[in-house]
Amino acid sequence: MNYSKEQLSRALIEVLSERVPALSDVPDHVFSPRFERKMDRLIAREAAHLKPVRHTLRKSLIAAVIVILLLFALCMSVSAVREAIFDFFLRHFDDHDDVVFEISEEKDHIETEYVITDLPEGFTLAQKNSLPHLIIWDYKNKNGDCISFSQYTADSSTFNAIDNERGQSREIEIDGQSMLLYESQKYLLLFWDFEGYLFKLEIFGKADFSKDGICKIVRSIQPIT
Amino acid sequence: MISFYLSLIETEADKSLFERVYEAHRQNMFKYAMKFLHDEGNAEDVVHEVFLAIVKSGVGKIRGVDEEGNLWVYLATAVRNQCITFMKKQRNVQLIEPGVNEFFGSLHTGDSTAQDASYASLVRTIRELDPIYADVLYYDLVQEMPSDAIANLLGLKPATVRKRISRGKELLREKLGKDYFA
Repeated sequence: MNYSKEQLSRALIEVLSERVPALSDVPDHVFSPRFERKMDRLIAREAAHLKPVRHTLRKSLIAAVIVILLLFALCMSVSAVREAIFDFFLRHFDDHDDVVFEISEEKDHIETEYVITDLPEGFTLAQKNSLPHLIIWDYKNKNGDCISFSQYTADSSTFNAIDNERGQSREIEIDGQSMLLYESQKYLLLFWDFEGYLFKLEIFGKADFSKDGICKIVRSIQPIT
Repeated sequence: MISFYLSLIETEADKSLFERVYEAHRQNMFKYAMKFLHDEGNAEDVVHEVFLAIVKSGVGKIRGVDEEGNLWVYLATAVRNQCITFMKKQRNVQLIEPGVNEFFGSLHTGDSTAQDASYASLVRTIRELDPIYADVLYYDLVQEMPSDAIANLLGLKPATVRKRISRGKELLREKLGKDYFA
C-alpha cells in the first residue's frame, strides 16, 4: 500500500497528539524570577537577533579570521588595570558551550548603566532595548554593520549558550580583564563580567576593526554618571 | 578588509510570534515537563531549553507550524524528549522510561479520525512504532527540519537523530511494505 506524504504527516500528527495529556486541570505555575530573567533575555536577544547571509569570498573570510586572531593575541599583552569581580567557566556539550558565571553578588536590577563612549567612525545608535535587568544598545553604520553592546544583571546560575559547531571560543585579557572571545566566520563576541554585571559586545559586519579599534571600544565603556 | 555579508532578518513579526508562542504555551509546556521531572526548577530549565532551541533555529521556522495549528504537538514532543534526555543525564532513565510508555499507553484512544481502512492501518502502525522513532520522523517528514535542528530541539546528538530517522523509516517500511511512501 502506498501512502501520500499528506497521509503520513496527518497520521504522525494524530499519533503524537494522542500522546499529549490534557493539562487543563493542572493549576498554573508561577515561574521563578530566575526563569523570567532568562526568558526576558531570550526575548530581547531575539529582538536584536541578526542573521548573516552566505557569501562566496571564503578565502578572504578565512584570511580575515586569521588576522583577527593575531590582532587579539597582541591585544592580550596590555597591562592589567582592572580586576574581575567574578569568574566564568565553559561547560562543553556536543553542539554548544554554556558560559557559566560563578558569582557571589546578585543584583535585582541595573543600578549603574554603562555605555560605549567612543564609537568607531560612522556608527550611530540605531536602537536601545531597556529592561530593569537588561540593556541592549545597537549601533549601525550606513553599510549595515552592527555593534551590539549588552549589559545585564546575573543570578547565581547565569549561563549563556555559545554555538561551538560554527565557531571557537577562548579566554583573553584586555587591560587585565578576563573576557571570553568567540569567533565564527560571520560573527565576533566578547563576553565579560565587571562590577557585578555581565557585558556582551557583539560585532556583525564588514567593517574593518583593527586590534586597536576593538580594544578602544572596550576601553571606552564607561558608567553613565 | 574583513568581508562579511549580513542582513537583518529580525522583524517585528518574528518577535511578536515568539512572544505570543511563549505566552500561549509556556504554562502547558511546564505542566507537561512536571509530569516527567517532578521538579519545578528542572521543568523550567526544560521549557527554557526548548525556547532557546527555537531561537537558535530561527523563530520564523515555526510560523508554518503555528498556522497549521500543530504547534502544541511540535512543542510538547520537544518538551517530552528534552525531559527524557534530562533524565538520562541524571541516570534515572531506567526507572522512568517504562513509566513513560505506560503513560502513553493509557492515553491511546484507539479511535482514528481516518475515513478509510488503509489510513486507519497507517495510524495503527505509527502508534505501534516506538515513540523515539515516531518523534524524529514527525520533525523530519512533517516539519522537514534538518537533523541538526531536530537534535538541538530534542536535546539529542545529531548522529542519534540521523540513526533514529533511518531506523524509523526502516521500521515503517517493514510494517507497511516496500513502497509505503508514494
